Amino acid sequence: MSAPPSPAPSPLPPLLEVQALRAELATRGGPLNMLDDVSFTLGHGRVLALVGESGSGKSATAFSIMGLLDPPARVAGGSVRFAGRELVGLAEAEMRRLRGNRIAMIFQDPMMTLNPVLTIGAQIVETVLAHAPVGRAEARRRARDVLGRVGVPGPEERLACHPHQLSGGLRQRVAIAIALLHQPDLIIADEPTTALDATIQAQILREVRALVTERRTALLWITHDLSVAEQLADDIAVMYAGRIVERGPATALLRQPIHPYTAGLIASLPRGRRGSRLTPIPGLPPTLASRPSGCAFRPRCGVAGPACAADPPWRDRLAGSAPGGAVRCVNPGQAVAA
Amino acid sequence: MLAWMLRRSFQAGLVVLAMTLLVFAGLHVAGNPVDILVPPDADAAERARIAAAFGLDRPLWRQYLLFLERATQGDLGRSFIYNRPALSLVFERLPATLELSVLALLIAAGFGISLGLFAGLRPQALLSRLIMAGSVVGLSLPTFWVGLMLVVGFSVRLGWLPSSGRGDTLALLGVDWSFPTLDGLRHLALPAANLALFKVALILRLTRAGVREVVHLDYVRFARARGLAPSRVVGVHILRAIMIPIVTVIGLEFCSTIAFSMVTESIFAWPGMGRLMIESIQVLDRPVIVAYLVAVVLLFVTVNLLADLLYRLLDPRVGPADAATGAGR
Repeated sequence: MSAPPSPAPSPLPPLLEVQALRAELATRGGPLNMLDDVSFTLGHGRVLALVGESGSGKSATAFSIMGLLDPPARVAGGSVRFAGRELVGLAEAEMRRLRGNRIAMIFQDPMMTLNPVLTIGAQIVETVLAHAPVGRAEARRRARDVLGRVGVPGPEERLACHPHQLSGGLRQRVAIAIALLHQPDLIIADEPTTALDATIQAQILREVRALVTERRTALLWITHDLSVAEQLADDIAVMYAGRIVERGPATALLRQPIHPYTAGLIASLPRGRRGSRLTPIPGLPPTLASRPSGCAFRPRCGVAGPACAADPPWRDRLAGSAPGGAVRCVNPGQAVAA
Repeated sequence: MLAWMLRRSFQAGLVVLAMTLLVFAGLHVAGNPVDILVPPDADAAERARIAAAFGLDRPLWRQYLLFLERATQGDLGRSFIYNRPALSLVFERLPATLELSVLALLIAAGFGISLGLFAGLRPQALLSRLIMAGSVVGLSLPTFWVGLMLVVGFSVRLGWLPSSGRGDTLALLGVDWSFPTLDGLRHLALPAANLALFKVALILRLTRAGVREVVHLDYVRFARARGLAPSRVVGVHILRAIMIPIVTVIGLEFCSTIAFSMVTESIFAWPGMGRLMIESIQVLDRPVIVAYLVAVVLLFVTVNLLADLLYRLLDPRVGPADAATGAGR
């Protein structure tokens, strides 16, 4: 007897479910909102790109999920469910068991993420030993294997190297290797290719994509670069001033952006004909202390009206079609028409 | 590496040369040792005989050249007072000073680093604020005053610890040491604590500043994101990164403790090199002063050399070229 074809969304709960996540930064003048009502879900084997300018809260979202937000910043509310388990308020020892094991993270600057005074081998081995009950010899063997898997040439010799003896691209491969070490369910990558040159960037994107597909690892890819998101992601969430303003399937969202901010980001990308002018978004993103109420993009928005002074509600991006994503704007559709 | 060490040795030689020159000139200005050596009732003939016996009748530059000539053969002269080779006098007193300084430094490093780590990792905690306030006190109180207060408090009022001398000693490698005996340790306690106080404050402030600086660096966050235990993040990743300035200061402090332990040694009647130096200055015993200073300069150079070598172990990015030119990081 043949099973009926199952619908596209899997019946399992999503791997990562972020609900109304709020983070604050304590200051002398009272707490400032770093993140406000951040919600998204990420399924097994899916790639979600979190896109936004510097200071939009992308990294804060990542560190909130990891439980690594350092004082004076803190998670002030909301929920992060990982494989059905609530991470907000989880005991530090429990959280540590997940970090680097079930949830791995890759940082932006490969020059800074590896400890300069320890060998590559020591840093991989300590990560193996943190989560696996194996001996040193076995840990070393795994370290060598994982370096080979991410395409580091001569892994055995590299283990004895210090980070400064490796190029930026190689260092980022080492960081990626460390992330893959325990075959995590989720990898959070915080702009991991930004600091690399374009050829290495493309190469690493391709390889990460392959490694992730192979193991059905979910990927939360943080970037300010829409073209990277386009190459890599299944879904895109656009962040502005601590909020997600639009989310949806990558191709649909890029082809037909609804939120004026998303549309502005796309218009500022170099694409299409050579020599065509880029259209920048006027103004600057607000600082943490000066975020306007209501829609924070309002002062820079071409179609803003009096209605934008109130918090814009979520609505479907495209009327009628269910998996089309959602947008937080009172004027959906107007920007595209312009 | 070898060239670098040779260059260092050559520099050390120049420093020693300049120092001896200064001591000869300085003591000549300070007074004539003959005045102290001859009995007050001696006549001119007796005076001349004694001056000739010590070679003090010759012009100063001749005395200096003679000193240099003998120094190249390892003879730094005989003490005017004890009539014994000056160098062996100094070395006799060395173990007492050495054990005092090493103990003081161990106390300073132990307390300084652990308190500094705590204050750096939990800057908001009440205890951290107390530690930092205490460190200001430790830095600003003069050593001699703290020494006197320790004697008044622990020896006179409470009667817990002895205030002077080395106590029982035990011969190890042909020299007497206080630290292996309980009574010796009791005698060491107060002078070592006195010497350590300033250094505890210094090292803890340095440690705290280092921790505050590296704790937010990516590689420390990455270490945490990899799920490493806090003991490993702090004990390996943070501590290794902040060790270089601390090692430098510990090295320099070790030298200065040995060189300038005179105050503490005088207060606690500790028969070390510092006391010998003070006594020798009072009687213008030039050979002992020179021998002492030569020993101290050589010690400074050696400890700095060791510290430089240690940098290389602590931080692989420090190359030999950096150290040779003196251009640190």
